[in-house]
Amino acid sequence: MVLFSEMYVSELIGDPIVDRLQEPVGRVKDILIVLGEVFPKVSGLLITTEPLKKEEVLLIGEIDLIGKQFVVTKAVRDRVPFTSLREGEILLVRDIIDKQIVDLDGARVIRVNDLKLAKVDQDVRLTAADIGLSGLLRRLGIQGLVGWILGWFKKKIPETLIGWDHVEPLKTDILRGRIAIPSKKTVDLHPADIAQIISQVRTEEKTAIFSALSEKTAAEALHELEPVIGAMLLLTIDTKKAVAILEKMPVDEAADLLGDLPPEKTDEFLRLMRVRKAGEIKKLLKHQDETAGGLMTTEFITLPQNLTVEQTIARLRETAPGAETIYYLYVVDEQERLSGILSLRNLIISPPEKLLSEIMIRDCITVSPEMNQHQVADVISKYNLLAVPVMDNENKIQGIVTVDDVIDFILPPISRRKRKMLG
Amino acid sequence: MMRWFNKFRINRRLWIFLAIMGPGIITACADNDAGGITTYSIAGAHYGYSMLWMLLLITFVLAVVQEMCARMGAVTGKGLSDLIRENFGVRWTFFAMTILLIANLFTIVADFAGIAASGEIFSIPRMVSVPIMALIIWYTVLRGSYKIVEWVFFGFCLAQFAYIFSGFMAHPDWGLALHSTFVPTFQLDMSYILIFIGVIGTTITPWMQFYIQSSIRDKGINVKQYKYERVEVLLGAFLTDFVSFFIIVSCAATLYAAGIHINSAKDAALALGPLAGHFAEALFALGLFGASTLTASIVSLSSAYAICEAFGWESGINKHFREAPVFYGLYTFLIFVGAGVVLWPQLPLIFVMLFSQEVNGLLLPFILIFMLLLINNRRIMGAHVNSRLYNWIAGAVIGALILLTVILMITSLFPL
Repeated sequence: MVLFSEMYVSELIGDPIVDRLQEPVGRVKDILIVLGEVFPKVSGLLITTEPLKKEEVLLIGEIDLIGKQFVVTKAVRDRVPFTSLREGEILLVRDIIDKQIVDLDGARVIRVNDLKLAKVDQDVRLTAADIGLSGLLRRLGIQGLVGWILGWFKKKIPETLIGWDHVEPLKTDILRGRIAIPSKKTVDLHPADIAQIISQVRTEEKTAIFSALSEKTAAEALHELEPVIGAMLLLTIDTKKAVAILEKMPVDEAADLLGDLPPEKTDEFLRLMRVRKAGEIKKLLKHQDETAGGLMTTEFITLPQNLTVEQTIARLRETAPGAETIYYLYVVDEQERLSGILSLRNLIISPPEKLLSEIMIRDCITVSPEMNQHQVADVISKYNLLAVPVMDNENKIQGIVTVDDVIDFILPPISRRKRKMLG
Repeated sequence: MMRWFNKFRINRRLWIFLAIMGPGIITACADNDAGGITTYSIAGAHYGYSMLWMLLLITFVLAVVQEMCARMGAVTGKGLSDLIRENFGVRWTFFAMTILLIANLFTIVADFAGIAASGEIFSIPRMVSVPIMALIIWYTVLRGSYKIVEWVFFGFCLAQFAYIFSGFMAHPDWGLALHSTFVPTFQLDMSYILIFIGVIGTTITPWMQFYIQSSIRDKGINVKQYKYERVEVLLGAFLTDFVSFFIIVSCAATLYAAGIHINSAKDAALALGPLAGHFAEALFALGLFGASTLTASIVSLSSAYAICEAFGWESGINKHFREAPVFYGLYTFLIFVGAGVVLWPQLPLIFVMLFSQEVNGLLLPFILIFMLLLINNRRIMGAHVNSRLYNWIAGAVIGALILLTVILMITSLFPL
C-alpha cells in the first residue's frame, strides 16, 4: 500500500475515491480508528458510494493509495468489498473533530480544530491534534489567502499541534447513555490538575472522570473543586464510594462538603461513616461556616509536658498519626490545657534527653472559635504560621486551622480566582 | 450559604427554586433594554393599540424559544455555540458567529444610544456620558464585579415598572386595548412592517438564546432540576412582556391619542406623564439608563464568551490578558466600537435604537434554524427532543420573519 507521509483529516474529507481504472467509487465521509494504542491506527474510511449514495465502510486493507487529492482502491469498482459501520466504533469527524479533548500537559480542556494523520511503518495513524488558528483557517478554506496576506508582513500562520500521546478524548454519547471511562492517563494526573479538568467539562463527564479516580485521589481532588461541584459529585456517585472518599478526607474538609449537602443526605453519610470520624465531623458542623471553628480540623497531635525529645520522636513514629499536619506539636498539661507549642524542627534539632517543657514555646498565638475567617487568615499571615490552634474559654484546644485552609484569603484576588476555576 | 438555609429549614424544593431563580428574571429585564423600550414606545405611539395582538403571540413564542435553549443547556451541559460548533463544523460556526456578532454589535450600539439619550434628558452631553459609561462597564466587569453590576443596574430597571402604573393612570380605552390584544390586524406599509419586525427582534433576540443556555450550564442545572427552571423561564417570558404590554398601552393612551410622533427620548418620556407628571422625564431616563447599561454589559461579555467557546479560544474573566487575548480583545472591541458609533455627532438616537432591533429581527431566523436542528437531534437530546407543537411554533416564527423580510423588500422596491 502506497501512502502519503502526512496529511490533515480536513484535507481528506470529501476527496473522491476511484478504482484502479479511475472509475468513481465514492467520496470520503469519515475516518474510522481503533482506540487502544498511543497513536491510534486508522482502520478504514466511511464513504458515500456513487452513484447510489449509500454509506459503506472501506477497510484500510482494500485501499491501494491515499493521496492528497484522491483515494484509490485495490479492487475494481464493482468488486470492492464493503462492510458496514458497527456500534461503538470511533469516527474522527463525528466523534473527535470540533469536540473537546483533555490536554494532559496543560491540564485543560481544548477544542480540536483538525487532526493530523501520518504513515508509521505500514500503518496510517492518528498522530496529533491541531488546536490552533491554522487548523481553523484550513477548515474555512482560507488558509492560503491568510498565509499569503501574512507573508507580506513576513509572518506565518501560527501552528499549534499537540501530540496524540499528550491528549485524551472525552467521549460521551447521550443516546446510549454510555460514557467512556477515561483511561489511566487522566486519572494519573495531580489531583489539582484533575480538579481543573473536572471543572471545565460537562456534568456527565465530571461524574465519569470522578468515579474513575481512586478514593485517595478523589478526596484530594474534592478539596480543590468548587464546593457546589464537589457536593454534586458526592450526590451522584455510589453512596458507598462517597463514604469511603469522605473518610479519606481531613475532617475539616469533609465537614465543609457535608455542610453543603441537603441535611438528610448528610445524616445518611454520617451514619455510614466510622463512628469516631463521624463524631468529629458532627462537632465541626456545629460551627459557623465563616469562623475559625468552621475552618478548623480536629486532627492534631497533643503531647504531655514530661516526655523527653527521644520518647516523643519514638511515639510519633509508633502511632503514625493520620493528622493533617505534624509540623506543630501541642504540649498540654494534666487538665488538657495548652501549655506550649513545639515545631517539628525544634524537636529534631534538640538533644534527645531534653524534656518537652524545656524546649517548647510558651507564648502561643491562638484564636477563638468565633473569630472570623479573614481575621484568622490575618493572624496566620502576620506571624508566618503553618497552623494556629483554636482555643475555648478554658484554654483547651478545640482544633487547629492550617495555612491551606485560609490560603485563599491570603493570596491576591486574581490568583484566587484562578485557583477556584469558575468552570 | 446552603448551611444557612438548612438552619432555617426552608423547604428544600423552595430552596432549589430560589437558587436557580436568576437567569430568567435578569434576561427578562435586560430584554426591555434601550432598543426594547424605544421599539415598544414607537409601536404604541405610532400605531396605538393595534400591535398588542402580536405581543400576546410573541409572548408564547418567547417562552417556547427560551425553554428550548434552557432545555438544551440542562440536557447537554453545553452552551449554544458549543453545540453549533460540535454539530455543524467550522464553516457553519463561522457563519453563525458572524450573525451573532453583527446582531450583538447593533444591540450594544442601541444600548449606548440609550445611555446617551437618558443623559441628554438631564442635559449631560453624550460626549461625556457615553465614554464614561463605556469605561465603567468595561472596567467593573473585568474586575470580576460582574454580579454587582448585574444587581445594581437591575435595581435601576425596576423603574420600568412605572409603566404599569402610568398605563392605568392614563385611563386607556380598555375595551379597545383588549379587542386589539385578541383580534389581529395588519397594515401593508413599510414602516409598519419594519416596526413589526423590530418588535419581534427586540422581544426574541439572538443574544438571549446564547445567554440563557450558558447560564443554565454554568449553574450546573441538570435534567432532574430542570422542571423548576422551566417555571422560571416561563415566568421570565411573561414578566418581560407584561412590562412591554404596559409600555405600548401607556404610549397609545398618551402619545397616540395626542398624535405625537416619537422623535426623541423626551417625546417617549411623555408616556410616563400620567404617573409622574413633571418627573416623567427623569423616571424614563432612569429606567432607560439602567436597562441600557445592564444589557450593554451582559451582551458584550456574553458575545465574547460565546465566540471564544465556539472556536476553542481561552476565555474567562479569571484569566490574564495574555492567556485569553481574543476574549479580551473581542470584549473591548464590542464596548468601545459600540460606544464610538454613538459619539458620531447628530446621530439620531431613536432611529439607531429602532434600527438595531430590526437588524436583530432580520437575523433571528438563522439562529432559530440552528436551534431547531440541534434540539431535534436525538444524538444530542436523547428523549428530550422537541415535541411537534414546539417545532410548529418555532417553525411558524421562522416562516413569518422570512415572509416579513420578503414583504419588506418588495415594499421598499415597489412602494405602495
